[in-house]
Amino acid sequence: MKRAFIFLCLCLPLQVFASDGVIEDLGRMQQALQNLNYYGTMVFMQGGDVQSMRLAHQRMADGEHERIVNLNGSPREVIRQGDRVVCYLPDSRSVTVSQRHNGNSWLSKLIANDFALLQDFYRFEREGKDRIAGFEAQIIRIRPTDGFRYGYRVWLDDDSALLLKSQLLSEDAKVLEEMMFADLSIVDRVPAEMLQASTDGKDFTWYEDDVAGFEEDADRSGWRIGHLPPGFRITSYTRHPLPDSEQLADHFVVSDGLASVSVYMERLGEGQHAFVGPYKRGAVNVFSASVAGHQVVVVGEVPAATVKLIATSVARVDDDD
Amino acid sequence: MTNLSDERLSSLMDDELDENDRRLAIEALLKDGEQRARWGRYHLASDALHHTLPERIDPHFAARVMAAIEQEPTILAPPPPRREAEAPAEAQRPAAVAGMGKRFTGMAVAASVAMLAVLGVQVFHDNPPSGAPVVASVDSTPMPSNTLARLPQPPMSGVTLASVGSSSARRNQGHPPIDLQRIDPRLQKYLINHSQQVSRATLQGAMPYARLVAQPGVVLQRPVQR
Repeated sequence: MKRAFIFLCLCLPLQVFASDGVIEDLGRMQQALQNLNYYGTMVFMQGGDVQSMRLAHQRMADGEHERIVNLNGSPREVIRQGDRVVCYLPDSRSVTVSQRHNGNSWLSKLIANDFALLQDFYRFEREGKDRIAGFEAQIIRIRPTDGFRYGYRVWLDDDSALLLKSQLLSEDAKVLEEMMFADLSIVDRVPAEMLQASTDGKDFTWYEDDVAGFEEDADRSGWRIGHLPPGFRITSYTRHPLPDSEQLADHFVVSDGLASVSVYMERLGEGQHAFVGPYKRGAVNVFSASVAGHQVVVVGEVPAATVKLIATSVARVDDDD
Repeated sequence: MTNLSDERLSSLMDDELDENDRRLAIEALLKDGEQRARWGRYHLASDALHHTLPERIDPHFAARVMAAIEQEPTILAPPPPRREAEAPAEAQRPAAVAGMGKRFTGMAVAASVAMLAVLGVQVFHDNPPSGAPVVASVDSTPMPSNTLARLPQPPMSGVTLASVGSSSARRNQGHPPIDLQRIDPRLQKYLINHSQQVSRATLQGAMPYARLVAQPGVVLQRPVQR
């Protein structure tokens, strides 16, 4: 007994030392994801559902080009060029176009050496070695320190630090979602056709969120998010239309540096009823509410408690109305 | 004759009662909401077993049929078959109730549909215990072991029938009813937009996009032409 205790005590400082370099490795992973050129087949697991997908990524002079297409069921695909993300949904004959505008918050944190912030809410540990898609990999585990965020386990290629496999873990460390390369080629140049959409979507309905991109002052939004879980803060506020609507919706992004949560407020039309309550799919939790004639929807890869806390604290500020 | 035995209820469903017993059983059903709820549950279970549940259910339809039935003067016996405009194509049931009047069938279906709708909405409304994200879900949460778990699941719905078996009767106060048929598309756009905009520079790698292409059953309403 006593021996075991002493052994444990000796291990503790080792554990702390072992985490050395982990953050740097995750930084290398980010660089690899963005700067390397690669393609391969991935397996995506969400709940009990398994699907295979084809992914290609190429760094070009004008930014990153990326394509991911589902090999199962309807051949849905996402094409990203820089910050413009186009999603082709042949099953509903529609295309949604969106402009990302919440930057590289996590990367900038790492570069700014500001991850002390993250370490208040996550612990970074090494978990040994593995082999994925023929690549030797190291495993890094990221454990949340409270119940407001999920954990992660990532497998990085020993040589390139490319992300080979990742898991999103629930509070009790169950795998909520998992993605893994079944085969992967890291190349100088990805064949151009691998990055092109298989359809021009001409006869599809296009939903374009092209007004996006301008950040606005959250203080003058007319909204107040009363409660954010510890470590979360508003990282962006924009107004843009959502697919299926011509009016502008308010869109806050709330993040703790790793997890991102979207908070939408959209005015309800005449005779339209809000939907309210929780919804869950894989690692994505939603909580919706009805506030001052608006549909409020909070979406994120965080536990149900987090989206609920945020959604139920949203209030209208009438000062500037 | 206010309490129907399981056997009688089941016989009524299978159209195995004689004229007189059937009339009495139907009277009992009409008088007693609890009996009607049982009737609805029986049909729900039967439909589940026979895989004849429609994929999507409009709770307002149930309300409309119920309201129409309310306005009917009296239904002492199943009337002769006649054209029934309100009878929904999707809720038409096969031979099980063939011997009964369509109006009565309508009520039974309405009852079971209403039942589903209420359960669905309750599940959607049920607040998970704090910190435990256990809500109605389409993920791999083990299904309840009763027969209802075999219900076909509508794609991409937080109010799947699979949750019926495990739903508590808890009710949340004050929320307006949800149009189940419209939840999916209305939630979809938020899910899509979130996944499209979420930063690629997270530990999730390409996972947000995998979610986008993996989500089954995206249906966007009111198309707006470019």
